[in-house]
Order: sequence, then C-alpha cells, then structure tokens
Amino acid sequence: MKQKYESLFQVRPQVVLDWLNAKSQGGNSLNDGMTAYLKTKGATNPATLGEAFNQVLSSLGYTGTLSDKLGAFYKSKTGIGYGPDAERAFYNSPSLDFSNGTPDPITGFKQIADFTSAGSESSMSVTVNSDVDLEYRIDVFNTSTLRYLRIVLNSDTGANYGYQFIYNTAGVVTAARSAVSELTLSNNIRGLGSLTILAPVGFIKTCFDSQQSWLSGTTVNQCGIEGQVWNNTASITNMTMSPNIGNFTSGTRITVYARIV
Amino acid sequence: MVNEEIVFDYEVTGSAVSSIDTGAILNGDVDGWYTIIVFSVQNATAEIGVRYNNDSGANYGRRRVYGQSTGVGDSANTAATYDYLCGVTSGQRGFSVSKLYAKTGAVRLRNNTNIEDVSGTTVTTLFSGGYVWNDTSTNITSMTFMCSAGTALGVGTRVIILRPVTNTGAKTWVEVGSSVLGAAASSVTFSGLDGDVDQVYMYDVQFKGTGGVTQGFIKPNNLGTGIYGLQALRAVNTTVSAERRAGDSTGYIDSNSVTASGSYASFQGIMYAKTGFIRPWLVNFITSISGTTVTSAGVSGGVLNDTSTNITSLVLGTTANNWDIGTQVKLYALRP
Repeated sequence: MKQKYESLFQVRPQVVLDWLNAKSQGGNSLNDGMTAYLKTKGATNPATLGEAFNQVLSSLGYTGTLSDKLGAFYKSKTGIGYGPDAERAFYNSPSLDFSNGTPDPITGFKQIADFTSAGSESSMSVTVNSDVDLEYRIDVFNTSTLRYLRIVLNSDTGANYGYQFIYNTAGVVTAARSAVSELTLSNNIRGLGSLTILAPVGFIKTCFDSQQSWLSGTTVNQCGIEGQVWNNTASITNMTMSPNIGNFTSGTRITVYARIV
Repeated sequence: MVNEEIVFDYEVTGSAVSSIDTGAILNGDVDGWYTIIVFSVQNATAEIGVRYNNDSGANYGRRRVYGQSTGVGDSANTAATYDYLCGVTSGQRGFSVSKLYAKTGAVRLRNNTNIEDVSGTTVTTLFSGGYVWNDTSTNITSMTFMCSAGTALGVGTRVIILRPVTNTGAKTWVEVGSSVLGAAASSVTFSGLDGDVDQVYMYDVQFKGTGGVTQGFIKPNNLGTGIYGLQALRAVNTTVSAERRAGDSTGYIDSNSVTASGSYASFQGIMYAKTGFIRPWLVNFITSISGTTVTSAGVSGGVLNDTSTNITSLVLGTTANNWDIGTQVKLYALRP
C-alpha cells in the first residue's frame, strides 16, 4: 500500500504543486518542495519525506505510526475519517496548513451573517461599514409562496433606489426600469437569488443580482437578471432584510459575505 | 472565520471521460451553498450536466433566457435527467458559473449563467436561468458531472466546487489587486499575476464617467488585434436586445452600453485563465446610472482567443475618455 503522502502527489499533483508554489516552495520536484515546506514547519534534517511528515506531525501532538498520524491529520482537515473520501477531499483541497490550526492570512470574503428563519421573524439586520468593507454578497433562498425579499439600507425607505431588469416569465421575456423605495430580490418568491453590492467610498451604491422563482415539481416559472442602485453616497451602516409583507417563512435562508479588510 | 473555499477541483487529463464524480465528499445540509464553476472542452457534441447523488430520473427542470447573435428567447425543460450546465458542439468550449442551495427541506434550486459553442472569437449562445432538482429530502453528498453522449468531457475540462467553511487553508477568493483612482484615468493594470497558477480570476469595477462617454473593457496582458469575442444580452428600459461580436481588438464588456459623463456604471466578471485553451469569461454589467435611473443592465460572455500566453497582467479600462477620481477596481483569485 502506498504511503498516503505519496498517493497525495500522484492523485492530484498539480493541486499540490500549485499550493507549494503559492508557498514559494515549488520547483521541479514535489518531493523536494514538500520536504522544504515541512522544514519550515519544524522538520530537522529529515532523511526522507516520510520522516519529515513524521517529525512535523509528532510536534503537533499526533501519535502512533506515520499512517495513524496522517489519517488523524486528514480527519482534522477534512472532517472525514481516513479513507478514500478523506483522501479525495484532501487532494482536492490540500489543507496542508501545518501550523496547528492557525489559518494563513486571507483577504477575500468572510461570512458576516447566516440567517435561517423559524417563521416568526419579520426582518433581520446586519451592521456594517461599507466605507471599510467596500463590497457585499448576499445569497437568499426564499421559501415563501407570496413574499419577495426587500433590502433597506440605512433605514432609508424613500424613493432613492432604482432598478433595471430582464425577466423570463413562463416563456415571455420582458424588461423594465423604475425608481422604488428598496432594493429587492423581487422574483425570488419561492426561489433563489444572489445579490452583489458594490460600495466605493463617496460613490452611489450599485448592485447586480440573478434570481429565479420556482413553481412546482420540475417547473421554474421565472428567471431574471437585474441591476440596481441606491442613490446615496454615504457609507452603508445597516442592511435590513425583510419580506415585502409579514414574516419570513420557515426555512428561508439569508447568507451575507463582506470583503475582508 | 467562514469563507468560501474549494471543496472539489478536478481537471480531465490524459484522455476524455464521460463523467467526473466528486465521491461522497459533500454534505448539502451542512454546507448549504455551493458555487460551481465548469469549463468544458468538448470531445463530442453533447450536453454537460450534473446529477446530485447520481439521480438519473427525470427530476430536473429549468427556465432560461438566452442571447444568440441578435436573438433573444426562452428555453425551458421540465423533465430533464440532469441539471444542465452547458452544451456545445464537438471541439468547442463552454463556461458555466452557478450557485446552488443544497439544504434538504425544499426542492434544490440553482441559478446559472453560461456561454456555449465558443470557438475562436465566436461566442454562439449566452444563457442565464434558474434550475431545479425536484427532491426535497435527500442530502446531497456527491455530484456527478456527466455528458449526454459519448466521452464529451475532453482533456482540459475543469470542475471547481466551492462551499462555505471555516478557513481550512484550501483555495478561496483572495484579493490580489485593488485600486481606487486618485486621479482620472483610462485604465487600471494589475500585474504580477500567473494565470496558470491562479487559473480563475474574478474582478469588479464601479466607475464614474468623466469627460465623455465610456465603455468598459478587459485585456489580459494588454493583448489586442482581432482576438476577442462577445455575446451580450441587455435591457434598456422595456427593450431587450442581444449582440454578438467577433474579431475585436478589445475585450468589450458590452459594446452597445455606454456611460455618459458624470454618470456611474459597474461590471463584475469571472474568467478562466489557464493556458492550453481559449480564455472565457462571464460579466454582469449596469451602465449610465444617474440618480435612481439604471439605464441599462445585462450579462455578457466574452472570450480571449489565445491559448498559449500565460496571463501575467490584466488591464481593466474604458475604450474612450476617463474614469473619474474614486473609481474602484478590484481583482480576486482562487488561492490558498
């Protein structure tokens, strides 16, 4: 049976090499690159790659044979007990962070809210600072058969928002634009929508979204894309999301990401 | 900290295949959301789709709007045996980006934008639509990416799945460039890139026009001379239209949508950057925003007909006049 670290290289070598390159430990040999990386994590004069893995994993508290240690390490990174599934998950997302759980610095997007309705809430809010964050992404799964999602920024309910959409409703393609008093995912009734808000400092705020509305069984009634605007140059400090009437329905899910700063 | 990380990343190597199976590495009830990115290199004329838990029953449906040359239309299906991603003629290319909500308790819905039959600088069709898997109770533990005929998933076909997860160190969206203009300028260049390592780039721009009309563009490595193509679908008030362009020397976001001086516009795109094949991208755009009036909104699919030049820089700019002070341009890559 191959050593687990050897099969790692053979199943997804490019993924591992990409990862090593990103760590400035690449080169022509995966074996040499990985050994060099493990030296940066505490391996001392390892004679083989296996010895390098053994030293680093021992220093992190893993015990038993090298196979035992690697299996436990895979599980800690993939959440799956060692086996083909764990190996596959590991190969495809080589979480080779040997710093004992401390993640590498990342600047991208982080989840700042993840709301699942119990059916009793009339709104949910997120406090933000768009002059710092600059960008938000909102995913919505709406279980309501009647209500669409509205998003109000900084409690502004004046007619300071606008949209332009393209919808395909049961085979009829239409478009329209208007000024309104909210951002919406207006055709995600019993549907799915994703909205991006771009919020440069000192600029009005612009948005893109795509959305659909499911009817029954395998029938999607409506799909569409849309551009929206909040005609205000102030920093967004609050986003309040609510159904257009009444409460959310149970199972409605809203997940919000902000750019990491 | 929860972010969106790669849980599955597979490229077909060696020889073409009829399917790509993630294995039982997913847990839709825990993960909730999946972003799915597919670049197809067509080895046979076929549709490319995905099956959840390998369900091959007629349990999938869809409704889409498309732009094909100047035509705009509807496309729907209520008895599909797979969740459609893209479908192309043998030897051509497709590119699909979608968001799936995977939790049990309701039917599983997915929104998808894709281009297909991409060859040279011709992008034949652009689709944007909603998709459903009519199953409310089965936890999604695997996805099987498959084709409707033959071994259509050719060498170079790529499948990437991202999920929300507490940071594990796997690849995620990392900001690799950001610029806020301190003076009016016609373009922003992000250099020091390596498309063969990063492989996927995402970018967004919000600008204010100054001194005349502007139109956004993207130029990898500032390449030019007849190597860009485009299929766009757009709306101006109640009018929907489509456009195809080929052999351009500029990677237009949408050649018909201009932004007047003093008004705003935004665009947001995602690009597959690896050498070996043409480089496709998908872009959402809105233009000429003044007050609460969004003059135009749409989506476009573009292509750089260059297969061999590693992308080391990206130029995002305007074909005429300048972007004003405060214009914000950001670039992200999938990196560890």
